[in-house]
Amino acid sequence: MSSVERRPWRRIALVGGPSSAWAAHLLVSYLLVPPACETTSVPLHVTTAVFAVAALTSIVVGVRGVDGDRSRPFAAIVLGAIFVLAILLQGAANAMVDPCA
Amino acid sequence: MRRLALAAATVVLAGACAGEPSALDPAGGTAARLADLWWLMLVVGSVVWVVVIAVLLRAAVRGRDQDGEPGAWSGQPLVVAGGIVLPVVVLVPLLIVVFRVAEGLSHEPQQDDVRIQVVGEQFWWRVAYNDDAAAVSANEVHVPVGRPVTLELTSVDVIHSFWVPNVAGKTDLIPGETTYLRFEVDRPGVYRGFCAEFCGIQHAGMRLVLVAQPAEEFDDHVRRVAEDAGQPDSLLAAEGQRVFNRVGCADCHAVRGTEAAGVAGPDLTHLASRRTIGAGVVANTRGNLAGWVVNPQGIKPGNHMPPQPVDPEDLEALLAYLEGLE
Amino acid sequence: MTVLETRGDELRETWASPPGLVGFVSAVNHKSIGLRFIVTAFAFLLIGGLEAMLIRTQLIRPENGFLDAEAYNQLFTMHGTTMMFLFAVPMIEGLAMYLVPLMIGTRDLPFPRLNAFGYWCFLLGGVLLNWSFLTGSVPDGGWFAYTPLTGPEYSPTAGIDYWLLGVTFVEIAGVVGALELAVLILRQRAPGMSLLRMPLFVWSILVSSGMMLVAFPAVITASILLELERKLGLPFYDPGAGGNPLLWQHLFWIFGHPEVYIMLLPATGIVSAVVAVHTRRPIVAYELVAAALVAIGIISFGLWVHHMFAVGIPVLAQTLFAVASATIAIPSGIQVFAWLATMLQGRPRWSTPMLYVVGFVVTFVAGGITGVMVAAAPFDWQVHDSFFVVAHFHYVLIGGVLFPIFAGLHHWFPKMVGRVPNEGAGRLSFLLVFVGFHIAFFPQHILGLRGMPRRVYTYGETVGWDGYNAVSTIGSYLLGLGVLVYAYNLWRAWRRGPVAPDDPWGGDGLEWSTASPPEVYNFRELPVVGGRAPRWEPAPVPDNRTASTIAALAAPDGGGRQQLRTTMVAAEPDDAFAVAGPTPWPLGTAVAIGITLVGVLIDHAFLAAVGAILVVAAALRWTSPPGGWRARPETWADLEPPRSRPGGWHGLLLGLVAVACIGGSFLYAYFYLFVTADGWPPSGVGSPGLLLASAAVAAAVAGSVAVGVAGRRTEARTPALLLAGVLGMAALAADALDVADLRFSPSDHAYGAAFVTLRGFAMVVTAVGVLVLGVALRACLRRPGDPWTSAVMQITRLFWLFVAATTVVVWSVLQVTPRVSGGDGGGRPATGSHHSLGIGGGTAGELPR
Repeated sequence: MSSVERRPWRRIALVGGPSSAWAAHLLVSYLLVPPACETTSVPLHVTTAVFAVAALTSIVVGVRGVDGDRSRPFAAIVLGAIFVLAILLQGAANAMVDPCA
Repeated sequence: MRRLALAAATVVLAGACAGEPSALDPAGGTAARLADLWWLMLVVGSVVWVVVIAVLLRAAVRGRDQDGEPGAWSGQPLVVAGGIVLPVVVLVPLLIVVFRVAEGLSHEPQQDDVRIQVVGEQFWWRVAYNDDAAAVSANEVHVPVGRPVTLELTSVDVIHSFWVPNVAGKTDLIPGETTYLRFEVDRPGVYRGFCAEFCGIQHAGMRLVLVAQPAEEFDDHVRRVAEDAGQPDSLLAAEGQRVFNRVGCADCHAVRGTEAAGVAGPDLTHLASRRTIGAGVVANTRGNLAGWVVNPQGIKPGNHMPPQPVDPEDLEALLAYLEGLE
Repeated sequence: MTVLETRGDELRETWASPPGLVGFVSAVNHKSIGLRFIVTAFAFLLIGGLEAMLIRTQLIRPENGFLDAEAYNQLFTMHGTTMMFLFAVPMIEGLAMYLVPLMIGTRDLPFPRLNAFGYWCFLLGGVLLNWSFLTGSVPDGGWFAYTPLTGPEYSPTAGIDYWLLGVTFVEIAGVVGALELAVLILRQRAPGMSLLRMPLFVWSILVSSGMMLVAFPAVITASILLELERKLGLPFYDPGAGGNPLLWQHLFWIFGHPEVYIMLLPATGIVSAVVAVHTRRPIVAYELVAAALVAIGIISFGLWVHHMFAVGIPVLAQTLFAVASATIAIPSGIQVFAWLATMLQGRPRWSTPMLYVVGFVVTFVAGGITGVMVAAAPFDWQVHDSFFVVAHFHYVLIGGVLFPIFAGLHHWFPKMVGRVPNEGAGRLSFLLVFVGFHIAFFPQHILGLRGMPRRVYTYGETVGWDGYNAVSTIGSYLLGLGVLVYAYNLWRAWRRGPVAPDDPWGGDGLEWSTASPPEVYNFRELPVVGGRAPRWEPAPVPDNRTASTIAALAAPDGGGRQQLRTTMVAAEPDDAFAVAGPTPWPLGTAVAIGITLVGVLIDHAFLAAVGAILVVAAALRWTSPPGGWRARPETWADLEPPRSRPGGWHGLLLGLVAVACIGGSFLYAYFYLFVTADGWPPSGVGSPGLLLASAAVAAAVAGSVAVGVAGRRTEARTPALLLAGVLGMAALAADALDVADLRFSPSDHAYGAAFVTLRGFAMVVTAVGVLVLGVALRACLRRPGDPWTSAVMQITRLFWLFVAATTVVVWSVLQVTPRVSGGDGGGRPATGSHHSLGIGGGTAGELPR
């Protein structure tokens, strides 16, 4: 029996975690733009930090859960990394673009 | 080589002769920054495309040359380099440029902007200056050069979109909402604009003219637009005014300073000073005007103006009146 | 006669469709239905292509009088609609239905009757849409059908109704096909074909099916709302009565952007299949490609706002979506370089499919690059809704979807038809299609940059667009000619092409180990898989359990259409189950739906009601247990019992995901209008009544509990089901009383419209729940000990959990929102007009009129 089926939630974290974090980051950031213009952008940056950490954590947890064959999680790590990159770039937008613009 | 191709592309794309619209022949800073972004992305994009095609050609040639077993090369490094590293290296700086350009071209209205209101209607544009109920025109937007302009856009029926490619990007006109388009024009001139959102049968015939002129000329223009119509200057024109009110023109059109106060169609107070009729569809000449009055459906099928069965003498008088509305 | 031949005959008898016309309308086999999808979709490609030729002919010169404005608007609407809804998606579903069972080594789909139903919905929906040409009321609001142009005020004729009803009909086919394919792929793979050994085409279909289940409900909901506005005056999109026209755009593009990738991902799956076979190498970096498919599938749901960059959304919000859009380039790049690396490794054979693949790479990469350009928000302000965008998406959709479909059809034609198409004609068609395409669409980039908006039926002589348009039109004729050559080649091969061997290309997948065309049962003995390219690797030796399972399934032994179900991840044998055989009732159900829709279309309430009753009757007839049905033959007695839930349970689960997405879209609409409308509820309308609504929810939840009891305790099954039925009907009665007593009219304000719609959704779910109870009761009474009955019971429990959840959510939303918003204009954030994320605000009509 493979490690995949013994600890399925780790594999789920590896594949589902970063993508969910990215989706949540996008939606929350989108909704926070108007209030950011009226008050402060801090919630936007907090959002980015929280979801970037969440995405990275789920990658780490997921990779640790898959022992044995080392080449396997590579694709899943790349998949997660794409979402981490997207979160960070959206965070860069939050930092660089005036929310009132 | 690339520079040559670029130069050729420039000739094709930007070398449009006067009056032909082009996003790559910017009339001011706003359009220029968008055009610069285009050229940057064109160069970067072309390089990426050429890289991919080079690898593809290599695969094709190699495939033909070799018949032995393929080597032990795994191929994965190429996938990582081309599929991950290349896009990341290209996209990250490009996106940062995009952030900068986007922010710089914010549509947020500023205190000192010249403000012009544009209302989209099937299939023409109602234009007003400085929120002034008197300074109303149609299908022709005048702006001063060298001063930032904010258009306040809305619609009374369906969604339209205001686009003058030489001047700026487009912004939608949405019923129940006000949107903004902010730009600056540096080069005086007459630029063509279009409705860019499909808005019904005559979407294609919903065009406009944007006139960029020195500030004092612009101020003059706005002052003139706000004035009432002058008195008819001939007997024929006076007769024309009576025809105008009698046959029903006044039900839909306003001529300020007279009893004609219709609101369904364009304000005609200064019709004769406008360059086009039918929302940019034909030039404002006597022949076109006569054709338009008698059968607007022949020139712009599906627009909301019904044909006006006026007899020739009345038409003569009507044209004299309309041509006097300067 | 050998043992194998006997078995073949027995299998053939078991799986064959009855002969004649009755057999034709009753057929359920995945290959018959798949081929019907493919042929019908190809016919629609030719129709849509003809429409394109007419459009291009009109634009060949300025002020052309070939078509008038009305005809042009109708043609571009029908062209887009036909290509998206009637060609691309059905063609891909057809290919998947035909090929996936062969590729994963099974005999048929899990729900063959549902599959046949999907085909009839597609066919009738497509006919309904095109019927409009005969009535003169042709849809003319564009394939995007933006409100308020498509609303009752600006489109009073029936054209838009044809569009809404026809497209929704076709979407039903999309949703049931997706559900079918997802369960098929997850539960019926050959023993040993773990997830990471699936062919990449199967991966792409799995991802794309999941996307369809989530994306299509958004447009189905948007269409229902618009049809309600058009027929009953419920003002969802009317800004004059609390509605918002941008709600349509959000819902449409939440569907519309994933839709592009729903078509594109399977196309890349075809490319992976063709590249592997025609370079004779497995695809490099398989796992990265699979991950890329998943990544694209997910990211595609975060892009929809990039279709709305011109509606006045804050720049920062736009850049967030620009980032998401640009990110798609990474997984796309992974795929492209995986194919290139594979070609570098192998020895490409320049057959017709491979040529189309090369044309695909050249074109699709260019379309992807212009895609990054239009994703760059500020640049999009210039080219949005211009011919630049037309060029971009034709590069992506023709280059990215049509070329791979042509590659795939040619590639699998020998397998599907048993005859080989002509290579010379195939290559000629490629040359014409490829060259014609670029002549037609490259100049459109320039037209867009030079200011030509989309969807204009004519343009002036002095505007400088004539030359590019003339060239483009000539290119489109070449492209059209190429498509005809391609079609003729396949037609000729079908009639009198050389007979195909079983494996003409030396393929890697299981589909090539069947006969050409495959026997009706596909595989005499189900295959066992030990790697990603089963035909290029030595076959594994199955363990005892697997071997005996396969042996048992090779002999139907009177057990009906037996199939093997395997586990979701590792594909270990789990259970045998029989699928239902031929029946005309899927057609009957589809026809009944058609009658209902026509009733709505012609404002004939009686006809619509009759149709709705017929739908229920036909569906009940169709779901009666198949005759001679038996879950496990006696020879299975010594095998372990199944370890997981029946396939029907998984099918329902996915179906409920789709229904939940419809409900979620209703909720989205409710909250969207809540945020943007003036007053929620509008002044004069108090908060909704609490008593009857709460009683209805309590009854529905109690019903769900009763169903749970019925599922756990066999002896109390019948009374518990009866009790649940009574509770369900009580809930419906309380709901009906409550709604009948509303103090507002749903057509006065968007609040009432959204309220009634959400409530109606919960009531429909409850009513279907009562019908499901009827089916369960019938099963319990007629076949108490049957495994079929226990499967029905599991399904009923799942459905009633959903009923309970739906009613509770709807109740909370409807009760809480009016109370927190304080009744008058509350709940609405102060909007700095364009800071409102494209969700309303600002005041219109500041100008004198």
